[in-house]
Amino acid sequence: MKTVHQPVFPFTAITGQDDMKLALIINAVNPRAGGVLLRGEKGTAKSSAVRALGALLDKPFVELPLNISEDRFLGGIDIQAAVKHGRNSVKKGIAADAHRGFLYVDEVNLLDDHIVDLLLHTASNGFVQLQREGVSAEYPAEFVLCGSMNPEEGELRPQFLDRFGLAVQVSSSGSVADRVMLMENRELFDNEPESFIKAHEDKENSLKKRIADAGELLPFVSVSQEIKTHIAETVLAANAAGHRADIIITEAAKAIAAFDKRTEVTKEDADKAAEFALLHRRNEMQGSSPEGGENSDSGEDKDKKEQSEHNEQKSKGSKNENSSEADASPEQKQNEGSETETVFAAGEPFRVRRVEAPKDRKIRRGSGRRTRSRTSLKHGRYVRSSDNRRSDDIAIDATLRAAAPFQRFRTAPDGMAWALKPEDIREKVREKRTGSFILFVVDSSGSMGAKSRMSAAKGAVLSLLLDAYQKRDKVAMITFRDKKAETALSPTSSVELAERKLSELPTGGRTPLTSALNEGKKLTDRYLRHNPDAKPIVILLTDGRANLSFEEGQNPRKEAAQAAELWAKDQRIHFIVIDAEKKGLVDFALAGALAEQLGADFFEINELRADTLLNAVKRSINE
Amino acid sequence: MNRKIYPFPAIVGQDELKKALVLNVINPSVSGVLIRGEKGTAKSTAVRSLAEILPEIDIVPECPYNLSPEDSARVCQICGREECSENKRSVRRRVPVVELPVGATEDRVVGALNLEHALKGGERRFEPGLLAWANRGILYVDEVNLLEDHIVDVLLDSAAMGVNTVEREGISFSHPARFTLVGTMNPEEGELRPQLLDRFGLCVTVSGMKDAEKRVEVIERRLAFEENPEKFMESWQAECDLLRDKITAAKALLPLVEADRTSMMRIAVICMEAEVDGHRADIIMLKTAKTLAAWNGRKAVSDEDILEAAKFVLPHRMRRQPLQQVGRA
Repeated sequence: MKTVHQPVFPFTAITGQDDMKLALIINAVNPRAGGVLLRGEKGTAKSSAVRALGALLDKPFVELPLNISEDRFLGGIDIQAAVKHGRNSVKKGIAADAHRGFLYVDEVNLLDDHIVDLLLHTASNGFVQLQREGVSAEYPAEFVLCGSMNPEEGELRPQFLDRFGLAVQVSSSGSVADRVMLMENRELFDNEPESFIKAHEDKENSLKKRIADAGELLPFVSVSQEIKTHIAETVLAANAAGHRADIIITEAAKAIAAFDKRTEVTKEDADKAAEFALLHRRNEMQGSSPEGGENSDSGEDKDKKEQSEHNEQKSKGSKNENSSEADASPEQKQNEGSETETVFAAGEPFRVRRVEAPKDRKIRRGSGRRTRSRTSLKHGRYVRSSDNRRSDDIAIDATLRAAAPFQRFRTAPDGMAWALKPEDIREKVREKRTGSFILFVVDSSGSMGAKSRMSAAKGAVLSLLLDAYQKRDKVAMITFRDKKAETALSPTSSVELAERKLSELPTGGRTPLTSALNEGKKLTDRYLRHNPDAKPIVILLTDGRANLSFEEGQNPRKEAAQAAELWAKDQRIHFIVIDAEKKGLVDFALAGALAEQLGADFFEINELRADTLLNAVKRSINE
Repeated sequence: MNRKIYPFPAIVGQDELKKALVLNVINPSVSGVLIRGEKGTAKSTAVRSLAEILPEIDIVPECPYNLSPEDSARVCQICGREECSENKRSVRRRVPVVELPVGATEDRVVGALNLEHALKGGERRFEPGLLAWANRGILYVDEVNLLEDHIVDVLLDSAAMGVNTVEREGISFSHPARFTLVGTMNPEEGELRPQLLDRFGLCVTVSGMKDAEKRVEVIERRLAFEENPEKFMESWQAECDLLRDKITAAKALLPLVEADRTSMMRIAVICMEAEVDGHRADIIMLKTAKTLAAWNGRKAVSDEDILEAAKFVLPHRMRRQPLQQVGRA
């Protein structure tokens, strides 16, 4: 493999970040600690630290690029050997290159699902089993998995998360002296990397020796019964699933002891190890547990949400030092200030759960992160190949690999090295995520509670857009009151635009429901014309009391029913009706009837707030 | 290709934008600039004009990676062209400006299997892509917020590492890809992913000019340029030369510029008060302040340099309240 050697910032020159460095060292000393996941804000030397460690050790250190293809991960037939020498041999993938070393994935939360699957499979097996393209092979692939990620860009699947033995929450330093030192070192390194590296050579060498010594000492480190019990109790208290955590804590604690030149694990070693091993395994409500997957939070917003959830505890309790929650306090203060209610203020935005339409096999187009689907255009990432011909998107590499085993028996045409047959041809299977389109249709007529409805709907729109920020969704909003319905917000993914457009919307007047349904249909029709494979979600927030007809002289309710049925004909649209009727003495159940006409999911919400609204929506979509 | 390029100094106003670009030319480690603004505010014109005032660098002839002769001796077994490493010829070329179109496919961006070699010779050879051409140059992405996600991932990787690593389609290959990332975007069409946002060293927001006189000037110059580009370019030649000389002088002065401890502490405090994520803001602000000092012909970083640097470095890094606009500092 040809590699470019870039000067690497020395491990020992990294300022602060002791936990991160220790977690990495633990894995260098004892691979059984199971790898490490570094989570944290951008620009905190996460990837620099991993790469620095890689440069320090005499072990394979392999990086897995995000756009890796299957054949390069697992391996495949060596086309060059096949066609030049008529030999069917295997070109191993990087899983094998990483054997007995480190495999590092930067931005691990952006890794494509199909590679994650292969990675998980390989990591749990410890070897690669290759059965493809006329070659079969098996080779060892035991590696320490290291990942780094910025949670702003989304979370890991729980199963993937569990694959990392340890996890560290990394944040920036709050000390001026540290920050200055960091700047100085960085400038020195950037200006003259060689001499900077030279200046740190002694330190690097002694760390390297200390790690090697610790590795030798490791088999002699013992764990007393008392410590074992302590570990088990710690894991139980954290309510972590399974027994993996116990084992990992024990192994990591042994590494800490060995690195400290001791042969006995202390309670402190175990506690430190538990901190790393339980960060992502804790099954409690409290804390910055990254698991669950249902919260694809951006860091800051998550902090905010947690803050509001745990406000009371925090105001009495001590300051939480080791999670990012502590950082968010000033933000929250500002926020409280800005929340003085104007009449039509948006409901407070909050984090939403991940809405994910089920992955289907339909070929569709679009760009976004929410829905992953196969794509028919030559866009999206080439994820694997197939001999199922549908387009002319030929996968040359796969085609050649398919043809390679037969080259011995075929004669290539003049000037060509290959004899290709139609059955060799492979096509690229591409995958990309399509954003969703969510349309809110909100009743802003004079019936009771119009203002709180508007506020809740605005809050929901803005929250969805914050979420959409990561997912490439588009959101639109139609309001209806008085004479007619109006498109208050055309489909957009811009939070700013939505904020501006939704800032002032009048309420009051009669309920032109038919007009709203027609307007909504127009909008989804237009959207579906451009994005025929999209699956729009329409959320209708009304009490259903249509009292203004579209055409003069018509019965408004009958007319609305017809419009609803017409709109519902498009199977691609998912409807949700939320009953905004204030519960009183008489229950008209008009919204329920409307839901039936639309074939919609139906919710009644007693206290309409943006978050209850959204959660209802999400639940409905996830089912 | 002889495209008519509007002279950089002839752009009316937009001083911040022009300065941010010039700072990147003087010191590429300032790490690029993100230009936010509405349509028709000379965003793209400014970037394309930049090509004319860029300094020249030494490049191995016909090297697809724009390697310098020293680099090629160190890293180059890449394309197997022996002539590169053996005779150290080099040519002077303008710093390359490579445009990444929004619809570009991944294989064109990162490179792919060379078809001809594969089919004719049965050889696995790498065909370089845009990231190779942009090495040591400027990678320009118009409407960067519309870029497909998987292309953004690739950009992030290379921008962070300075290396493009390809492990796909049977190819296992890596090559240097150090580039200055320049992107433009219209915020109304959606925001950038936070991780990519942070990759841009500097950020400027441009808007249409409010001054009627200046607007007239914009129109007049544009018309003069369209009517007779050669003549227009010629009339600005002296200004261009002046600017280029000033850039060259600043580049030479830059390694001598120093920031004392007080300056660095000031930077750290500003960044902490702005509650930026991580430490990249500190590092970039220091580099920007030094570059500003060099641009102003000074060897020491002043308070003004730091404050000016902060205006470029912080707007897109401040911890935003959820609904606060980027750049609304």
